[in-house]
Amino acid sequence: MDVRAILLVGAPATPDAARFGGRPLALLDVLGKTLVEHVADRMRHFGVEEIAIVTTCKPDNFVLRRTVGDRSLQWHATNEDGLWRKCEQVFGEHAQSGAELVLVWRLGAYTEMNFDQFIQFHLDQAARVSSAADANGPLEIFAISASRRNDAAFLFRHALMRTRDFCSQFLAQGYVNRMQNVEDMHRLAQDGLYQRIGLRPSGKEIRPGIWTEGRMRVERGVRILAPAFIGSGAKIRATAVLTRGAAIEHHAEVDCGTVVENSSVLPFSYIGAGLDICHAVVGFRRLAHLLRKIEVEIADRRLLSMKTSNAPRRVAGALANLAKVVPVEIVRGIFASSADAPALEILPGMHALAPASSTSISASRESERRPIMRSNFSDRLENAMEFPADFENDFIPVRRYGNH
Amino acid sequence: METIKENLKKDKSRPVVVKRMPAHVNLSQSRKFLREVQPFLQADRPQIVFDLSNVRQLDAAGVDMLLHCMNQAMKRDGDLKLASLSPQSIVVLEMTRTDRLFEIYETSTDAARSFSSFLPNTLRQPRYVSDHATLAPSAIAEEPSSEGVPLAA
Repeated sequence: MDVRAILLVGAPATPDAARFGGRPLALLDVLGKTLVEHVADRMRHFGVEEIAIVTTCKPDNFVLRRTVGDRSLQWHATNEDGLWRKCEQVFGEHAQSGAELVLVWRLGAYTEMNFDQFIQFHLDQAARVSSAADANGPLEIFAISASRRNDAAFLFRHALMRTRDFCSQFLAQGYVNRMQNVEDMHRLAQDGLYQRIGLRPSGKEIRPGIWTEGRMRVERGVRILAPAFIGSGAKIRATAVLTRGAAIEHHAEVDCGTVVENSSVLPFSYIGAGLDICHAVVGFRRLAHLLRKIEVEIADRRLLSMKTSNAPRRVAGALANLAKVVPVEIVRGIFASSADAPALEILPGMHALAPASSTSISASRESERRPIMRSNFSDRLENAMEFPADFENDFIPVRRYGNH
Repeated sequence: METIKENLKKDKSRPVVVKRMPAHVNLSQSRKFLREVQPFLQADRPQIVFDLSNVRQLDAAGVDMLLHCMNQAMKRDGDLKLASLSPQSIVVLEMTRTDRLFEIYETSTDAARSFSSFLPNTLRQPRYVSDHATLAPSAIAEEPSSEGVPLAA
């Protein structure tokens, strides 16, 4: 049976809570793919061969490049006024090209219901239009017989709120995530990481519970605890810690000594050094703290920022930073005092941030400064840690472990 | 260059060392324990589990020792996991926030098995998960009706 699909993203009247950073949740990455792509994969699993995505919000170029080779996926961008007309047009194209049944899914909710059962239900009912719902209400998923173009037109013109005739309702069984807010999105990522649902991270499982995708960079001393996901092009700097369900999406960067716990870091996000990101979703210079139910915009680029999605610009930026840092470090190395500079044992989650532009540990600024950490284990056990009486105003003390 | 599958196979074939920690993990006991586990830490890609079921007292020296062992294991591309944490050790590790630096399992058997395959159900979940999680089983609908429910047009 020729079954096609239409997925709607960013339909009008999408509540603000279903967006983050101004983008619909359905177009944000969850474990390596956008929700739309996960849904498309699921539909293909049930034999849907052509999927049209009608969206009022253009996906970013990275998503488009990722899906360009997929012939079964067709993107249709339109404005809010023309959305439903576009849906009618796409439905008509499907019907003309031989489709027998068209599934229409407004994202919205993510569900792992059995589409074979749903389609069979629709056929058994000899219905024109069938809808799926769970115990909490409709899921905005419809099955429309391709020959019923008038029914489809009526449904689209009423924004999927009304049907022209009687509509059979299928009670969906399986995982349902309403994706109404960023908390739901994070929960979807956690359910995928902890393998509670069928959704799996993209890429390969390089160690039990740790998935990575493509070429990513993990520096020395990084501690990664399962389950975790690191996307393509992501950078995890030295002594960072990823723990308890950390999901680092593609091209994100976690700077030195930062701890990411039970959090999602969206694509192209930069998290500064020495920070503690817990129970949060980070992206678009915003941090949504899920336990405190608060969303904060962070203007300080040393804490959070967004990297450009343009690859040549990123390379140019990295070269510019290198050009700034290297001469300073060379001069510092030539003229700095080398006395009383113990070798420090770097533990995960431990970082000393000196100037904002440098993430190197500098313990030898002044010869009279006492070392903060001892170099070997037995010395540390025997002697109490010594702290200098005065800190320079641009020096953040090393947090050896925890906050105490 | 070894493939990922070959590496995972080798993980399964290398032994996992399970070591039970003493009841009082203070400075002197930490040193003694460290001397006992040092040979295992210096092996290639060590796979080590510390069983903390007997631990009644864990002080800063003990926490330091755990971090040191973890660091040594990581340097050799291995890992150190914790299992069967006693209530006393849980409190100290949570207080120092070092609990999030280790994979913690309910039993040492689960911890040992986790080196070869991911066992999410055996991982010890932090408190905020039980407070705030709405896990999948609660979102799964009950038995479907075979006839469906008419939707008002």
